[in-house]
Amino acid sequence: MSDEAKIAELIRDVAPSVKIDRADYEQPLKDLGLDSLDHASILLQVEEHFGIKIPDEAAESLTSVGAIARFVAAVKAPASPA
Amino acid sequence: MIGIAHIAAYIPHGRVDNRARCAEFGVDEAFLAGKIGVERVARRAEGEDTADLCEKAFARLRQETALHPAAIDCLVVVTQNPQGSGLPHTSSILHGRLGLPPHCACWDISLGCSGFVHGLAIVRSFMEAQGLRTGLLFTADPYSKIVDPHDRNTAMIFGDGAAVALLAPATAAAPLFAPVASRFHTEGARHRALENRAGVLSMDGRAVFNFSATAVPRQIDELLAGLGLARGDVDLYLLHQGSRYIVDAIRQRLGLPAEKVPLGLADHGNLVSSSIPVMLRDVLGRGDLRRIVLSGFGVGLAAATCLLERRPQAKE
Repeated sequence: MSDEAKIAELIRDVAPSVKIDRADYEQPLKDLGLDSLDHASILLQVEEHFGIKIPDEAAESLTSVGAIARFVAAVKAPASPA
Repeated sequence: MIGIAHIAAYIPHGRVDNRARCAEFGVDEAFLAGKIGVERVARRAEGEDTADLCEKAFARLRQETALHPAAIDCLVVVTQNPQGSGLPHTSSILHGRLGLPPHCACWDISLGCSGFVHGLAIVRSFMEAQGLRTGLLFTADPYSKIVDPHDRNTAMIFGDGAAVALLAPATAAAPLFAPVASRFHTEGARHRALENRAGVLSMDGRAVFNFSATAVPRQIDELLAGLGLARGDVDLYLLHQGSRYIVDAIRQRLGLPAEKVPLGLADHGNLVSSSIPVMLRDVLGRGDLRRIVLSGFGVGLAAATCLLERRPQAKE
């Protein structure tokens, strides 16, 4: 399962009534019917599932499935050699 | 064992109607009802201070029980918004107003939403160690003293109120709910998530949510595991009523049915340390309840969870 698909699944756990298809991955979560409390809950689920921390500075810009997936990929990517 | 003989509460009649403020705060009524869960916040009358709220809760306790002030040998007030300037301690002011005997031990506990559960463990231990028989545990934290009425994060959530729990030894003739085990948790490094900044309450909603949604289910599970109990062995879970959303989130993470995790904030808001005793008051007399979990969480960031059981237990 891709990170995007997993994130969509986590979102459905938080808000079962929300429908998200692949075509919605770049849609703002707000436009999908998710509010600020749902957003906090989704980010917590993402943190727990992927074992990462999402700082507040980044959280505000993670407003779509795609944006969250790109953040997760960047955090998971091995650091470049110095 | 010391247990809870009775709980009385005083919630001021004054209300601010959140439904009339939805447009101001940019929320709709569905969000208000389904997520915040607070239709109205209770507001103390002008000039009504912390000890006044406690005194009115005590008056209710006198009406509802045969308690005589001369019998009280311990009085504790949980508050972070004390009477006046905070010096002397609110419990001392209350001691004088209620005409309690000089041997009655009095002190305040500075804790927020976890205060009732912490306080229950502290006062019970103190009373048992000292051989005391009658204690009063007050909770009163009128956040209207520090809430910015235009702050979307806090103005629609917190209400004013006070509760008083009468603590006494459980006997065969008068079985009581007693705290048989407790767990405590503090993450002081994150204390700025909920604090009084120069007289105004500041709340980082995401940090408080993350703390509550993770620490509380874990703490409840640890408590139950330590007692050899499963989640289903508990009849009722009374969680601090931070908001409807946080109560629902914790309930879902624990996989509990809604009827085991009641809501009690729509008509008065989040009463801080009084939210749990106000709900507990309404179920203390239910004979069908054997085990109740209480869990308070918030300011600190701190959480405290305990299991109440009827003591002494009926012979099977």
